[in-house]
Amino acid sequence: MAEEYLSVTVDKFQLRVRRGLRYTRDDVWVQDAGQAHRIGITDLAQRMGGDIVFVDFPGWDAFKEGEPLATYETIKAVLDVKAPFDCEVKAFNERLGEKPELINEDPYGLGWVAEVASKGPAKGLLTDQEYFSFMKEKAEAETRKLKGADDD
Amino acid sequence: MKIRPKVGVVSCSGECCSLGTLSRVATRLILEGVRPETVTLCLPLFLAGDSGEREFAQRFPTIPVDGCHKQCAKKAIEKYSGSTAADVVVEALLEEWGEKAPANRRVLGEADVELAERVAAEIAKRIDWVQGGQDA
Amino acid sequence: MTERVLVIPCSGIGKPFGSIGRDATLRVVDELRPGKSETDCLSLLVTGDEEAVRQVKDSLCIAVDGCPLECARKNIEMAGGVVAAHVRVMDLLRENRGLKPREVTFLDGDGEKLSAILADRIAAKVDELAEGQR
Repeated sequence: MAEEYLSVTVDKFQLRVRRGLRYTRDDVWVQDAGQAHRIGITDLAQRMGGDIVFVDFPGWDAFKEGEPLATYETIKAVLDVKAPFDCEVKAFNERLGEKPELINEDPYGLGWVAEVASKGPAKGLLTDQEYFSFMKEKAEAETRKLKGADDD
Repeated sequence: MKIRPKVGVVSCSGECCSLGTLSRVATRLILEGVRPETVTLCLPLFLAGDSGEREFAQRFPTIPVDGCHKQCAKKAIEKYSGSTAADVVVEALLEEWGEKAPANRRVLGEADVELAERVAAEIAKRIDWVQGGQDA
Repeated sequence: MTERVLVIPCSGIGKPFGSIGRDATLRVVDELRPGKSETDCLSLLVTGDEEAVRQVKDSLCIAVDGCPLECARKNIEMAGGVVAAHVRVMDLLRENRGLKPREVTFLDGDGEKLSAILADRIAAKVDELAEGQR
């Protein structure tokens, strides 16, 4: 049986991409379930952002592709969960209000952010393999930047 | 092109005395600027974490920075991962330099921070030695 | 059971939370409740040091964890100790949303403020546990 995740180790961190989901270059994953889609942020996103202290949901439910349908705050920054396509939110993961760390602990499972209905075509979503390649490059670039690595 | 292997650094961060504070601060100085390419491993995660810390120390040369002769960081690496690449023991360095440990284990004064910088320089020497550099 | 409450921080080195927890613990044991509390090196529990393990089993322990990885709590429990109280720095940060501690090596202003708040919280737990022992 194929493993559930594609994974790569960068320094001491294992970064995972869950098979069978679709992805955006904004590090959002999409799980298709008929008319509805469950979405969240990827392992890379939660790792780069750091420990999530707050998750905030706006007071409305209609979003254009790319608009932030939720924000999450870490020590480092306030970051957006960007809508993967035009959509209407049917449910936000209310548990994140009390336990935002669920996103860090289980980004593809209990740390889901919202369930949405699409209101337009989902263009340009990546397959798991495509996102895995994208993620590896991004992670390695970030590591090089942080460490100021150079070759003599 | 020089290939410089990754190097891990593990501080004991011991709370019981100021030597642990010095080891912690010196290790942080390494990460923040002296040798930013190193990977700082968190000692408690060797036992309580997933396998990230242990596996890194198995795969890459790792240097423990211990406050005192108990050498908890060294022992933890040896217990959970393998042999260490080089050691730093702050207590021994201070003795060699004729310096006293800081009086306060929570707040370091200016002179204490200078001591931490000297310890960081010693850690850096060991990192450079470990990395050596192999010509590609 | 020893008289003093044992306060063990995670001292996580990668995040401000670890530094804040460590700083707050030392405020408590050195300044706020010196006769009633003490600390010991978490690293001794990681290596299984016999004396440290015995002390943990013999004491009422407060685990001070920086983040949800909860290294202090886990290491105390793995050593056979009982965590009589557990404080997480991240939870205190959520109660004080205006504070944004960023620095790890030396605490910045918000880190110092959060450390002071945390120290008061830990000191109150020490008082509770010490009272319960009498």
